[in-house]
Amino acid sequence: MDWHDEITAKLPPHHEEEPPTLREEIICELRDHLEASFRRELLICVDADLARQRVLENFGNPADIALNLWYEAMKGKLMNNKISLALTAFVTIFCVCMIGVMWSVMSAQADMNRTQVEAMMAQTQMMMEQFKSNSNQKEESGIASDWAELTVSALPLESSETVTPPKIEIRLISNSIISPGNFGSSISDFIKLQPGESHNFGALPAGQYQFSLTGPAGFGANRQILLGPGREQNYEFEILSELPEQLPLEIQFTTADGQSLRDDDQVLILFVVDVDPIESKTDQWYRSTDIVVLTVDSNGNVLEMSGGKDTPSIDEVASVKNQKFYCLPGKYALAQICLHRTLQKNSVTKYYSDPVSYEPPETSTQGFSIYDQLFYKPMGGIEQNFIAGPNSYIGRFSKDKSLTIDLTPVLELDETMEADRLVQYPWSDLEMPNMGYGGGLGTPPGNGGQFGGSNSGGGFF
Amino acid sequence: MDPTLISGTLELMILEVLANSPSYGYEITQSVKIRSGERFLLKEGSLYPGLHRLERKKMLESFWQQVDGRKRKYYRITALGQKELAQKRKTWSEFSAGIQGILGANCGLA
Repeated sequence: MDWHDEITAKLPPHHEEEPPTLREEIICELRDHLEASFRRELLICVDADLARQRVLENFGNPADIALNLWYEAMKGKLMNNKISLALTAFVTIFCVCMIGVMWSVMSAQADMNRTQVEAMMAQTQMMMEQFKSNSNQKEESGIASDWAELTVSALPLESSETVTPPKIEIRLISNSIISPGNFGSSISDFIKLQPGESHNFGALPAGQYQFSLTGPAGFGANRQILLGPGREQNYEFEILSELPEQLPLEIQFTTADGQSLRDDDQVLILFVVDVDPIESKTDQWYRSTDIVVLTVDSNGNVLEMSGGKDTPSIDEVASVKNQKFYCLPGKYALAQICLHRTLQKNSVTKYYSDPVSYEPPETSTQGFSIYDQLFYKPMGGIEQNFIAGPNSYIGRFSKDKSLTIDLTPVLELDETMEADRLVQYPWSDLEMPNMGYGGGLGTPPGNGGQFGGSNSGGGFF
Repeated sequence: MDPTLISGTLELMILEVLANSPSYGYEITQSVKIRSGERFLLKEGSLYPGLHRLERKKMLESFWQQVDGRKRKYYRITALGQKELAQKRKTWSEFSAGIQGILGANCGLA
């Protein structure tokens, strides 16, 4: 009798990790047992069916036993598989959860980033539109959008008490529009402008520049400007159109010791001119501080007048006509009077004016001395004739204002060497090689061509 | 007989039957039946799992023989099985003596 079907009825399908002989061994072992038991029962009851029935009753269900044996043999492997499966499932679920968490985090981050990007893009768009609107005009004229167009206009000067309406040519010299970081280099030619005219400098790189403007009579102005990118900028300057009327200034000399001026006395008048007659709307014009040296004799005759070589138009600021000194009306005119008197052959006495306040006192410039300009360390650094203190007049000359200056002897030289030099060259102690006055004041008066030494004013008579 | 009484003695009986000579499943059931005076009848549903379990524990080893055209699986006890059998015998003797003592005191056997 074959018990194969009864034994294998519940055996599972072949497992991949099942030993190759396991199933066969279970079947063989149980079949041998059932067959042995069947033969014994058959000896007892003869009937095969009855014997078979009794074998199965004693044995139990062979399919269940076979399945039990198979499972017990495969339990370790199946458990390992289950553990692996469970582990795999756990890892899978964990990974899925982590992916979900990461996805949600990234999604939230992406939302936030998207919001920020949108805000930045909107802001950038606004900036671009604003920039585009600003640069449209530049693009139409072919100008790079990061350059700025600069226009300078010369306007007629508004009415002023001291300045007549413009009627002559105005020069606007722009000789030092400076490239950024390179002050001192001119990037444009001289430009002349009539009142009402404008000049377009074209497109310039954005940055800092400086105007250097020169008007008539040596008046000038420096002004720094800042050109922003993509913007058209216009500057207007009111320019002194002509020389203001010069005012006569009558100077009388008296000596504190009661001595009258002798025929051989000479009076040296030093002016520091610092005139600022006009303030325009956008800039302040100034007249560079300059020195006017006026030499007169004891009769008031002007022997010589000169100015700094850096001021070619000094004769326009102050002049001497009909033995009177004229100066430009303005804020300041500073004077220092020096009397040269030769007492004897080798002795020279100099008289200097006392410091006198001149009107208006509130405009006085403190701490400024003409000696700082003329007598400071002349002749190779040897301090000579230096008088400390504010020996200067500072004030505003008004019309028909006369100035009386008292001369007081404050210094007497009695050194042979020095006296000889001074006799030979009375003005040589005023030479200022480093100040641009060399030669201008070095010509001794009465020595022939005494008025031709001026290097700038050039003499007036 | 109450089957719960022989619970825990299956491995002891299998090792004891196999202690003298190798045998196979049907023969083991018959040996237990005879040696117990037909008091114990090992059910195949318990015998074969017990045999396979002892084999996995290295207390038994098996081999096959061809008998009447059929393959028959024989089991024989190993040294480890002998050692385990000795331990189980001792445990059972103590257990049996204890039970016997208890039963004898109540039944006048002690």
